Amino acid sequence: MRKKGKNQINKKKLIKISLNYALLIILALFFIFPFLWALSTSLKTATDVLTWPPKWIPQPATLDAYKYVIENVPFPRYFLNSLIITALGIIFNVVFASLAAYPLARLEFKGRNLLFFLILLPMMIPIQGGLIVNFITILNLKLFDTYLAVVLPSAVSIFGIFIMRQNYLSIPRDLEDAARIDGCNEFQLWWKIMFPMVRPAATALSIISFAGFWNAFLWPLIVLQSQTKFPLQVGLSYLNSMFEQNYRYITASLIIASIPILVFFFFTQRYFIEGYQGALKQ
Amino acid sequence: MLTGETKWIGLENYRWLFNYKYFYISLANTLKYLIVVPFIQFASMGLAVLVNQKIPGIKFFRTLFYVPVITGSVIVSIAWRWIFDVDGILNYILMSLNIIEEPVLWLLDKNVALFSCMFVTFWRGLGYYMIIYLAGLQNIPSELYEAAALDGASSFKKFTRITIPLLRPTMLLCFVLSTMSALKVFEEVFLLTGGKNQTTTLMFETYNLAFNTYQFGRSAALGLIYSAFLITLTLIQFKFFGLGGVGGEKKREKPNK
Repeated sequence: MRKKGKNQINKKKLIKISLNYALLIILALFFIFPFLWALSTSLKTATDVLTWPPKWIPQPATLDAYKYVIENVPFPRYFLNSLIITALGIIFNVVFASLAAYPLARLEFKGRNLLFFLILLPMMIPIQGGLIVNFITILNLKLFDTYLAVVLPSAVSIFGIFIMRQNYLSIPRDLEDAARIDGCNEFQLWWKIMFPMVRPAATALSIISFAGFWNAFLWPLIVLQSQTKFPLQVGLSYLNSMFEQNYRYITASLIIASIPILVFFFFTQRYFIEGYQGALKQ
Repeated sequence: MLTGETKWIGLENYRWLFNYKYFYISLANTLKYLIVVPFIQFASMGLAVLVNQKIPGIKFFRTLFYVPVITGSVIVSIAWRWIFDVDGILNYILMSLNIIEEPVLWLLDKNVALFSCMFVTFWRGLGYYMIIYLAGLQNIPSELYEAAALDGASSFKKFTRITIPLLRPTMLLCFVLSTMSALKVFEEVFLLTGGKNQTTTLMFETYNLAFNTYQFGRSAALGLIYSAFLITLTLIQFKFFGLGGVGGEKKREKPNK
């Protein structure tokens, strides 16, 4: 009798676990289906793409689409451009935010809170209203079609200043006093004591900036003209209209563009998740 | 306009906009886009609860659910364009399951196209909000659940009495973030429909006026109206949720450690 009851519990548990995994697998398919379908399409022959009913598995599989795309599309150039823009963006964001937030959090001066308020204020004003104004500014600065034009309007992250300041605020005063007694000057104090203390926040900010700059689309689309300066996202959009209905080439391009970022993500995902948690805890 | 002489024309650009058909269409579509927000909130919270279980392999699933976020809006929008094709796989699947009889023009039908764009926004946002909710869930001290379990609370009670109240700040954050991104949608519209078939949004129309038809003055006017619209909605949200103190000094007494 007792044994039977135990068995039933085990059975119930087993069913629950299986249902759980079944649900997870269905959801996983839901999220990666577009990528799998793109992969399948990119491996088909030109005639197979158009057959109805569509074939799930490409048969025969061919790398022709990849060959064509790699020969005709400057992918290495797109990647390099994306990397340059993203690297510049992250460096600007982290340097400016950590330097701007420091005095706002740790130094006493008149009008500090007013200054902080004025810095936060533009966060309320969406960049959309400034699209044309920023564009004309870039034109007049003679920066049109340069990497700097892409990065400059978002070089300072207000949100970044905000999180960095919150983190500087949480450093105990004693630490600063001790460093001062030991003869640190203001810059050493920041560089040797304060900045290392807020490094997790700086990492979180880098990750958030990375996602922002790597995936930026509208602004680079506007300020870049020459194909040799296109970052990946703009390049893909260009291919999307150039290849129009030729989905073999389009999907092959998508797969080529996704692989490096996915590989990068699989190695750094810990930081992505912790980064958001770090930013949220504040 | 950009190089030549400019002339003061007062409110002419605004007057023009108020007679411009697509101004109203884009405004209506931007408001319609807000339908995505509640769906994305419930679904991503459910996902977060699901992937917060401590079972083997759960990290792998978390990663898979996050893939659309990491590949970015351009790649996923283009991938969905192919799925939504008239001769695409979606029509095939739905037709073989007898859900639809005729192929649906997902991106070409004026009554459907905007919803197709909204679906892609929903789909690609889920993983993002899932991670934020997951962080929120993991910040809830486990002692609370242990204490509740000792008092004999059911898992449903634990969810409604502990999880939901403590997740409130996260819910507010996600709500504000997803509302803002729904109001600023651009990539899906640009890449899926090119703003055709009644899918234009305020963001797309601002871009379209300036960079497709070179009417910079009118675009700038629309941009300002759009900004005023966004600021008003943000202020309403802040007022509604009491987030006004975000910019102010937060009193954070941390225990010395």
